Amino acid sequence: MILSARDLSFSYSKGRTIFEHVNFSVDRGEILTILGPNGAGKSTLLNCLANLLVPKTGELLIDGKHFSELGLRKTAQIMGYVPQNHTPAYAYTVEDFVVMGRAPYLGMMQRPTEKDYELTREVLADLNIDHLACIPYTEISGGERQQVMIARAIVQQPQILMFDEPTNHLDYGNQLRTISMIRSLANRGYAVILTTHMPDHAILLNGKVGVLDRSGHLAVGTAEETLTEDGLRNLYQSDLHIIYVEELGRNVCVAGALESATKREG
Amino acid sequence: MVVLIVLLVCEVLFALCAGQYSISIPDVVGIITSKFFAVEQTWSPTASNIVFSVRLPRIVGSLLVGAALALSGASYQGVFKNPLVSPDLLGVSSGACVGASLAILWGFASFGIQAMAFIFGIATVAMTVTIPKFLRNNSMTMMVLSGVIVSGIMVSLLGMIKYLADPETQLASITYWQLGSLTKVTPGDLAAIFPVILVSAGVILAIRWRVNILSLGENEARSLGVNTGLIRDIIILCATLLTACSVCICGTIGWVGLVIPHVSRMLSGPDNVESMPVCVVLGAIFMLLIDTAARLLTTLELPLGILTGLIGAPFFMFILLKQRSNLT
Repeated sequence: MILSARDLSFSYSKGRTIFEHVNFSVDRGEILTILGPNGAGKSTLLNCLANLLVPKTGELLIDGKHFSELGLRKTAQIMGYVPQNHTPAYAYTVEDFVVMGRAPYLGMMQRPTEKDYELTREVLADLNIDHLACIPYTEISGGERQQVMIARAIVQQPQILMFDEPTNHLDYGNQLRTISMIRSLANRGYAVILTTHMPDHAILLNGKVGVLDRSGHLAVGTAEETLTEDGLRNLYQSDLHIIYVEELGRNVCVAGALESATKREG
Repeated sequence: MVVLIVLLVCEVLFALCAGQYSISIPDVVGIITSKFFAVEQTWSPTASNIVFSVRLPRIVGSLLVGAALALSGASYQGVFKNPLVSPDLLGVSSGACVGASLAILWGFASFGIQAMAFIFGIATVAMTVTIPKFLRNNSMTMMVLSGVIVSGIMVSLLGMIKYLADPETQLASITYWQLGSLTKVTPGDLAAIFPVILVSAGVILAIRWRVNILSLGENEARSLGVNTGLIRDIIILCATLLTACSVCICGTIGWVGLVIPHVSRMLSGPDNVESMPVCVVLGAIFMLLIDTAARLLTTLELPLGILTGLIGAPFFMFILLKQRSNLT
């Protein structure tokens, strides 16, 4: 068991409790998909797991060791964090951007060496994006940018990969390519934790699913256990259906009629 | 980079030669080398005197000021992940202005004015960075807003000092000081600021790769294992010292800290490992160019702040025009 959370809770200094009594564990090769409505605190939970925020109570263990004692640098050596798609202020080349993933291994005054660049190029080649190496990061498409950020996380040589809504702002094809990439990363042995707005992605990934509801409770289990029709309708306040599709051999999550959705809101 | 350094050397030679009393290039080379080697003297003592006590301090001063302001600007732009930021963002210049004006109002001598400018500049930034800590909000936005607040106070204080100043003498010198000039720079001034500039610039250059990471934003940099608070404080401290050093010897000079980092990034790409050294040399070149122009163009010497604006701003626009497709 690589990462486990025990009775985790978080609240901002003056605000409401974002989540509490969060328990789960993720192993090598496993995927935990966290679903939840806007504002439920998915990103906050992910930031806590990434050691960027300090939880109010509870503990995070990594291979049995307390996570909070590791510090930022050690954390970054164990965990690669893929942030939401964004446009940076400066047009670093893809190679310069990805090599920043070596930061946790370099001292304050050190700069990446030829070895670090070599590793960067290997990872880019491995992800089939080596042709982007010299192009400014600001000039590539959203889908490519997603891959480049994943490359940077891999260059960190972590054991856990975290994705904050990796399918945001991507077209349908790129969403599915990202999902299948996440699957293959898990197959390579990374423990993967991601947040998403698409219940169907959680079903596709076929790993553990955590559903964070508005009261801050995280229900963890398999997709069948956690993604029930009633549960999802309640969670998203919409007319949703879980249907088994024979041709696909899996459940799918689809929306029902729009009228009923508007009726519910009204 | 080699081209830039060659350009810089030529410029220094030209600046040493040119002026109301013009000296030939061989003579200038002779005068300089005579300090280190025995060289047959082919020039008048006046020429030697002009080179060492008039032109050289000024040239060294403008090189230092230009390099310091440009590097300071590049650091701020990296830390605040915004290419439109200038070294005045946290109020160092407006604070220094208040300090210098107070010193002028109280009739201090030139050293007193410099010291007051330096101290007030640093104190103002200290105030700016304390406000977010006081409000327990350590975000960049809070820091920038805090800079706006403190600069606003300083501008008002400056207005009050100017209002109280004797319009015949004090007000004129305050205004002149604010516009920036290197006329009164002495070797002693340079010796005082040189170590500070050297150390601050050295620290920034040593950790310049981390500035790349910082420019990705707080959370992302932390997820890469970078202690953003520490690096940010170090950079802000060093960049502020750089600006304060230059402001205290030559008054406030705008544009250099904003334009030069831009031009450097256009020449060498945004990676600070490459662009910061370019920025240092380019800043020195630009400032010397401005100062030499200030000396030569008119008999009545123009303040530097006017020239940096008049030359820097259109130059900036020209570059933007050429690069508009690449601008992000």
